[in-house]
Amino acid sequence: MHRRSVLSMLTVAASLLPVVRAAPLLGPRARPLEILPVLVETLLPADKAPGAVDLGVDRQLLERTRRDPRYRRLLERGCRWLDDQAPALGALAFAELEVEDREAVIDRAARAPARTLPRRFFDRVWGDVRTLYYSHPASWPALGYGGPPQPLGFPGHHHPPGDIHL
Amino acid sequence: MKATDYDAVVIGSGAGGGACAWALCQGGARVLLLEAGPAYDPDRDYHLASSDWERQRFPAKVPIRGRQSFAPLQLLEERWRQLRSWSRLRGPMVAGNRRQVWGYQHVIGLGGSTLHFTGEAHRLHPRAMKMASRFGVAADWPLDYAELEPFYLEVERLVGVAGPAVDGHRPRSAPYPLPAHPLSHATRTLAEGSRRLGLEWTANALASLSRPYDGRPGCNYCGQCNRGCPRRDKGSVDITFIPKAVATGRCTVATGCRVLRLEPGPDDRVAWAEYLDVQGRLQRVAAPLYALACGAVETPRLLLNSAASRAPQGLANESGQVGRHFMETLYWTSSALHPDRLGSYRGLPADGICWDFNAPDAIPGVVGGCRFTPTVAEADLAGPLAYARRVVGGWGRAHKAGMRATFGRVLSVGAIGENLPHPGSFIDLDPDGVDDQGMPLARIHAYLDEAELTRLSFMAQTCRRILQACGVEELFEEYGSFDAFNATHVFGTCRMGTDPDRSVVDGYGRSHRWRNLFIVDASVFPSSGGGEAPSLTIEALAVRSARRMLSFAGGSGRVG
Repeated sequence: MHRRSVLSMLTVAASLLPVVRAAPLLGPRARPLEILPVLVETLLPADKAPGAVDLGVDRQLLERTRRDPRYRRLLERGCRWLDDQAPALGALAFAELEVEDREAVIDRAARAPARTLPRRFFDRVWGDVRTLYYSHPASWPALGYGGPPQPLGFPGHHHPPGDIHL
Repeated sequence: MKATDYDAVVIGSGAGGGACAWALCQGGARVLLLEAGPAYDPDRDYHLASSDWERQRFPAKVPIRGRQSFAPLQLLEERWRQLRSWSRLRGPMVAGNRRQVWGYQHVIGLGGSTLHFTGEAHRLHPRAMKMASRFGVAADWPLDYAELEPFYLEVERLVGVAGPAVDGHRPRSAPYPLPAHPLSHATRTLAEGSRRLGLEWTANALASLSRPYDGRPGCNYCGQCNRGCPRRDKGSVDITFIPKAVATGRCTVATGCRVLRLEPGPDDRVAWAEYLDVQGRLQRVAAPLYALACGAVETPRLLLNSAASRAPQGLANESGQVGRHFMETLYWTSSALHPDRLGSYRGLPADGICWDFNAPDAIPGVVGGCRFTPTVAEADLAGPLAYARRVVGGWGRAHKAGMRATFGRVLSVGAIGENLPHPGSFIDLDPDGVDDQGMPLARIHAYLDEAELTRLSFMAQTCRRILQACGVEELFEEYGSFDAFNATHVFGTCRMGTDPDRSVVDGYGRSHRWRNLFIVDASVFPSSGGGEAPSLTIEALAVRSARRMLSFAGGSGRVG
């Protein structure tokens, strides 16, 4: 049976069961945080420079969910929301979307009204990913940044920038 | 009461307290230096070698938020909308139509706010000390530049100030002890652009060493003075005046000791100081002399909280002037992207300066000057995280490409200007807010009138013109005093003067009434200056006051 037919049937079935979460009944719903690496990679992908997953940012977020129940709940709910957007784009789950579609879904979250789940989720996760990524020295060479500030400083500061540590 | 054997108690260990304690000890006095906050260890407390260095500004051990309260600030008039604080990524930085409090930025710790200062080491413009007689505003200093000059020289040599060979506005009896720092590449870009407008930049005088001096290393231009200096090349008070005071063997430093009040005793003398020691126990210490150096907000608070039957309006407040004439930091910052990679995260903050409009009569149409400096570091736009949050924005592939294309291209210029006293700017005691000891908080009232906003407008327009002359592509962020109270330099609340009815202390910082009480911080400034950083002036005044205090002992150092 064609995937879209299955999806249509499932969507109809889901609409007949209002007490059930309006979400695909297939896919990794039981472990929503499993899509974190895909999300993090989409937020800061590898290109000429390492991506956020290369620097272990996804693992750091996961570690935080183990320590902080509220953070965990927000991420779980947000990841489920991401998965919930996938069927409209022809996939069962967020992780199965093409990169452009994943970006479109994230963009929808980023532009959502303040205090909505997707917006809160995006703001929190992007803020954390960005902080963790740019606090990692491996992200700096691609920027031409020769830090941290100490112990070497920038003794060549009066010259135009060139080599690292100038 | 605890029996003591001190000649003087100095309360507060910032620029004024540290310098005063040193000068007293050097002169033979035994000093107890009480500091409410803890000591900082440059080797352990400043994290500039860590990969997450950018995630925290100065690592304050004692939070400053909530230690003072604010009266509602003024409504913002639409006609000054060009002075609103804004960001390309975030839009307006202040919501609504009322001026917002961003903070009174200070450090509670041994060394005070010098721990996080940039280290600018400025002398006041001589004419800025005579604002009343020459320009009809504020009040005159009861001393002139020539009297203060030897003390400026003395503290510059102690700290190791690096400055230019020539200063056209401030006469010097000797050169700076150290040569000026070279300008960073980004600052030279600012200077070259400014020259097209007829403006001249010079090397700023800085309390960071341009070469090894007095057992401390030269600066390595990391640009993060405001996060604390792990190398000890920045001349904060904790590594200059205070160790030298301790080395005399006559200075006892007591950190974690919060002074709650002073007791007005008989014969117009302060009888004792009450404080909580580091274990939280209430203590009293008596000494022949007391020097207050808690800053222009906390010093008047301490005096007002010391009201008693002998001083019903507060200690040293017979004139009603304690807390009045509060002057804040009038500031502006504009930031933009330059087409070239400048590596603008490198070099000392505020390494260059334009003094062209610093004289009190330099700005057309308004009394009170200003100065311009590069502000990449002070605006905290020197690291990858700042670029990601404030400059580039977005996320994903476009964001990463934008970061690579942009990093190091921020060019930022700021101005600080004179702030004249106003009846609506003062410190009083909060009728409702108290601290954990039940002592009323200082409440800050601040108002910027037409003259202040006219000066601020000039500062903002000039910053923009300078950046345009440098060939920037676009501004991305601006903020300033109009809608955001954000004061690092504060002044005036126990001002010096010759008239006891219109001032709190005399020209040596001595209370007009209380014979053994001195004030040695920026509370005593009758005017703020045209944007000069106050620490060097505070230190010079404090040393001068300390020598006066010693003179009561007949030169022996032992008082009483």
